[in-house]
Amino acid sequence: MWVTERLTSAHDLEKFASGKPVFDEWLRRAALGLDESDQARTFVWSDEGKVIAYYTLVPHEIRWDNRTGKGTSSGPVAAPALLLSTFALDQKLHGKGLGARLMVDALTRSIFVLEKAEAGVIIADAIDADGRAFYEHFGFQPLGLSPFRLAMRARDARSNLTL
Amino acid sequence: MSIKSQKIEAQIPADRADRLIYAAALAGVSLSTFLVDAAAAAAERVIAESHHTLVSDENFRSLLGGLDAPTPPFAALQRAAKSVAVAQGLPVSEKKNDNVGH
Repeated sequence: MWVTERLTSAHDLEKFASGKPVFDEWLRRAALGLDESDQARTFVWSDEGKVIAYYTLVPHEIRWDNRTGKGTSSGPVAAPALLLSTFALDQKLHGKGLGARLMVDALTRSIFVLEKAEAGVIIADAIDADGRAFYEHFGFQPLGLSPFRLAMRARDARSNLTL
Repeated sequence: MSIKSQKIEAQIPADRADRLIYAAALAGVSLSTFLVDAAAAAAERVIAESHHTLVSDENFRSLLGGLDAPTPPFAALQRAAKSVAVAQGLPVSEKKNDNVGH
């Protein structure tokens, strides 16, 4: 059972190979800088200091597009959200159900962050059809704008994670 | 004070490179400036999209509304949560998963 920890400069990122170069390069070149400037938080599994899986959460907001509705003078026009912007496991971990475990970790952490929000939403960005199928497998649904941006209500995540 | 710069290389098909060179000439800037400006504009747009999602009236209602609506069973998520709990040695209730249908 891997333990999730926050990415630090002590982690070795060089060997990480998810099979999708965009995730590998992002981890090596962008993740730590975005964490240090508080724009994103990356959480990792590591094996003797080498990162073998990671995901990133970015503060996010759902905004009502007031051009698309009749318009209301009352009621919320925005909802707090978290964006699961990257999610990847090293290839040697693939096919063992470990992605599902990392997903439980990511959603549990997201719910915790969104705890006080009655209407919190978790957004996921898939980079391709495989990624989208992965997110849909766990209950994310397309938001309708881009086929690669999906959503899950925090309260739905909460009720399905509660055993 | 000098500003740190970084070299970024990209491989693109020759016909697309020709189009870029042509467009840069039309814009009256160097190819490098053209590429960097275009990429920077695209990057800002993508970064803005990472901060918020604009959703339609209908989507907004379904995300925020329906507090009383029954929660859909996310079978794969429930199974994953259970396997994590088992791995952690936590007590797992069988009842909740009965209606999931494996």
